Amino acid sequence: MGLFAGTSDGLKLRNFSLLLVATGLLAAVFADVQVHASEPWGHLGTMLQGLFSPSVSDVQGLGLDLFYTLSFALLGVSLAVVAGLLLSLLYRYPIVRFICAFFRAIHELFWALLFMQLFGLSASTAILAITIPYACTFARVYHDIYQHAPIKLAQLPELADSKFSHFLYVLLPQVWPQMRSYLRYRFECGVRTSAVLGFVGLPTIGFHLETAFKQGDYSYAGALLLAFFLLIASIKYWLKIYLLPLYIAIALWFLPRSEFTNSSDNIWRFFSADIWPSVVKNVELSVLEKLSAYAQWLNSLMLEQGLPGIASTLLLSLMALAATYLLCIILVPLLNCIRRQWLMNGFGQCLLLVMRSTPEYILAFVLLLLLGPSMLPAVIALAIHNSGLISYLLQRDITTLETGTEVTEPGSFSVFLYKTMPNLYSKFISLLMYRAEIILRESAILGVLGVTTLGFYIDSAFEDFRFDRALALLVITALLNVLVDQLSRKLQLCFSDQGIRVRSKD
Amino acid sequence: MLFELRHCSFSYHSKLVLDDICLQIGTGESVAIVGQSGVGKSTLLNLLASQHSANIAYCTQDRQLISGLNCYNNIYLGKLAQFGAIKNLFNILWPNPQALQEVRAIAEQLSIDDKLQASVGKLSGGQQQRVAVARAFFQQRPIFLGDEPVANLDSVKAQQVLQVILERHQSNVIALHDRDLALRYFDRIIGLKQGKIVLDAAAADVSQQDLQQLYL
Repeated sequence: MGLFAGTSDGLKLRNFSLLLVATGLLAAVFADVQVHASEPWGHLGTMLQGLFSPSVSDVQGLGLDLFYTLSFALLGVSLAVVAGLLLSLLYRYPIVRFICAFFRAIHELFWALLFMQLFGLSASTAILAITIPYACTFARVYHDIYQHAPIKLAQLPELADSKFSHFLYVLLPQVWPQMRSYLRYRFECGVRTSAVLGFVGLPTIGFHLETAFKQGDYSYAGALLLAFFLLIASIKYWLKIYLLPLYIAIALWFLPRSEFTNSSDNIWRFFSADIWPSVVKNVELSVLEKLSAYAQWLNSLMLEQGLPGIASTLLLSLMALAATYLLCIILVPLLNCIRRQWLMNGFGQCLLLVMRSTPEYILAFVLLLLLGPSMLPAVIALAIHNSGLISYLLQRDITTLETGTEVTEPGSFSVFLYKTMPNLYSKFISLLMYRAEIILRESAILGVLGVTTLGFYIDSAFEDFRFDRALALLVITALLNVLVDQLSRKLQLCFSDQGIRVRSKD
Repeated sequence: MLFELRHCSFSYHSKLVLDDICLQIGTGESVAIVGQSGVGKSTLLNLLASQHSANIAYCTQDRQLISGLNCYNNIYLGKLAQFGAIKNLFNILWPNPQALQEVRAIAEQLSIDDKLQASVGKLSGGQQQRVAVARAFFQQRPIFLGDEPVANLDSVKAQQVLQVILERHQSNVIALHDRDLALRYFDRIIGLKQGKIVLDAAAADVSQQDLQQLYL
């Protein structure tokens, strides 16, 4: 009855889901989602044949790629966690919150493109590109974790003198397990990011992966991907917090030495001259004239590149969100049904691992080679990665849900439909909203591969040494992301509240 | 006068918890507060605690123990504000010898000296309760306020701990549900019913039947 009552939570969720799919389909009408390749299936066959027969001629080279990928991730994430910890303590100030949201909204690849102008293809570029957005993410997540500490500082008023001591004795011991597990998760993300940084030329596994795919050396690409998956899967076995200092020391010692030298004059010139349009630098103009000229310049940039870029980014995000939803709707029940069959279940779990471990960027790159240049590869890549992650998280919840209750037929479709899904659906939508911001962030960056999202215009501006344009577009991208983040957070809260209400009714 | 409440009422979420309370407690008194659960004992203690916070060691019912810390650091937490940030930082890395000695002496009195290194999350309810009491002792304040500080202990342990509490503090105000303990160890009994003080007399003048009335 609740479903037809008009204002029930179930109806709201259903309507929202339909809206999500409808907007995705509508976006597809306006976007280019054609297959432009002549023989995609044949090409896929050749590619899979190569990927499943991995071979590597230069083992030492592969080892070095993996080592640099790990080193950059390790140093970047370590610096980020220290900075993020400090920022999390200041996160209650709106200005810190805004700066973090803004810096976090700029993708690591964009940071890499930016730092490359200052430090070249060096370790500093790779490490800073990871550190800055990750530090801001740590700040937000750690701040959120503090809010959920069971005992708050205010509850121990007689001890309320030193904030630092409170943090050390009251807050940190309570939330340390969550912080540690988030650090592990972020490290895994760091390794993925570090790999992708290779696509802009940094010496990580992505660099050789791009070359191997472009040259059609799929066996080598297969070996690289296999090594990458093994690396990700093995993290939990060797990443111990107490061993971190040793790992950091090794990573620092063997970092690649860069030939690139940059004087402080160059850095100063980049910030004082390169990133500003020529109209602003014209000394003959007054301040007011400069401002007006800058506004005019910005206006034409917005019309020519900003607005088309924003439109494409949003179209791609909406399609990817709808595709992620649909893929999850198929995957979760399917995986639930095969849970009891160990062989099929093992296959399902491996599939999920590959789906969620492969960075969207790499997936999009490979699909672009297969399907030709359109938005379709990007949509599929985003849907595969995000549905892999969401399905994995939901599956974990299904297991927890069933352990505490009496389930007559675990894994049966009826139980799933009448018990599991009603309990988890609001969480599913809330997770999807959480990923919406990340999907938008990735949609923008996939432009670097040629899809005409904001990233395409930013990358072109960097290639043409038009740093003024690049920076202005980066700011636009970041602001768009901050906006969508706010919206998705609101929706997320709305649906997680519903989840609580639904559960409390049970 | 140590504590004084005059016609004091207290509401929580628009529900009247304490109704027109008039109360005076002098220095050196040991007072037991009794009454059904939910009658306002904790609220009354909170009101008293706010009057002399600097001189009070307050052992609340929810214990406020930090699950990630070991027993020693949970007890040490009682004097966190006194030691300063640097000393506190070093103590978490390596226990401060002087503080450790003091904590050990207190822990011996409460029979938890063998648990100092253990994480509080792994202790039994009774042991956790004694850690909370030990934290209050470590503060070395003249007044002890306790909200059911021995509720999770067996009868023998409860008596031992209560004796130590009373010995160590000049003045004590403790909420209890065990009527025998209230009559045996305290000078004065305050009985609460429906948010009002309905009994306030010397323990010697109160009988079990009088207390029974509070629970009807």
